[in-house]
Amino acid sequence: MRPKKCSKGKSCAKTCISRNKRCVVKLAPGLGVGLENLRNALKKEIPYSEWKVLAQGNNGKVSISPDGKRVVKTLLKGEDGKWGEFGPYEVELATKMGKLGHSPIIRSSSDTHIEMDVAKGSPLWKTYTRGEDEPIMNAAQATRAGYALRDLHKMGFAHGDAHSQQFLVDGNNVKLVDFGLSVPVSKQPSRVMQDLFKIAKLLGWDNPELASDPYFQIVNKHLNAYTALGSSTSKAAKAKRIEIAETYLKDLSTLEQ
Amino acid sequence: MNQSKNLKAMVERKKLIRQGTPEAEEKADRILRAVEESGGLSTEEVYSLMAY
Repeated sequence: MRPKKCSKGKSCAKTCISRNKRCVVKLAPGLGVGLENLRNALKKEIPYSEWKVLAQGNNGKVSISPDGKRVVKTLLKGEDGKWGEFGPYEVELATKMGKLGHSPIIRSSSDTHIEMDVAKGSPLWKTYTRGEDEPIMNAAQATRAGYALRDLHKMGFAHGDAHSQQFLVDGNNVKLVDFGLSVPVSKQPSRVMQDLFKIAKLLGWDNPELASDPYFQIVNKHLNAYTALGSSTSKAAKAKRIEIAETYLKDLSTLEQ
Repeated sequence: MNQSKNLKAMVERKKLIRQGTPEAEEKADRILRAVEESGGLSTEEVYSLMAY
């Protein structure tokens, strides 16, 4: 096969798989039938249409590969003939967070699909009873989950729907998923505090084992002030929430990785 | 594509979150609590929720 230009426009010792433009190393000729068969097997991809459909909703279709290692969300055309849409920042943030190790790795994406690894693990819930002070995550898990939000917030975005079922936990490995409702903090700054507030008990921000962590110190300071406002919907309370969020983001910008 | 009771509840919850009103958020919070107390979502269901 003649080398083609890859998705980055480079002509190199790689060949492209045309469907999703992923590069594979071109094998040297004459390495034998076994390797040739292996190459063909690797190139033979099962189309998404043959993956098992997990769910089909107003925002697209989610399917899982036959080996259970990948999922793909594909957008669909509605009855009006218009394509569904991703969340405005869904693909961008999932890709960035995947690269940082906070979310499942994105394998390919386009205007109509996003394919990602299936992260091992499942949401923690078994002992999650609100009103009790015991955190559900241990310190290592809470640190990973907290750092995921820290880096998302530092990018200038709030998750928008952080809760216990959005964190896939496998041992001390934690992955945050679904950025479909993410919003820029420039538009809704108080959303960052909502992210933190909603998972406060899941993570146990005030866990003594986390007390020396500079990020958790920042979170505690601002979360305590935020929590003290209660559920008040007064103008003053709303303004105070925004002020707390902005101070949190300012403190975050001074934090070293 | 049979949906569990918890997944159905979480789909409804997501609609409420999109509304963004304090009342809807409060209702969404109650749904989440009920889901957590009745076993939460499986890994596949977490991904399924992205379709909504």
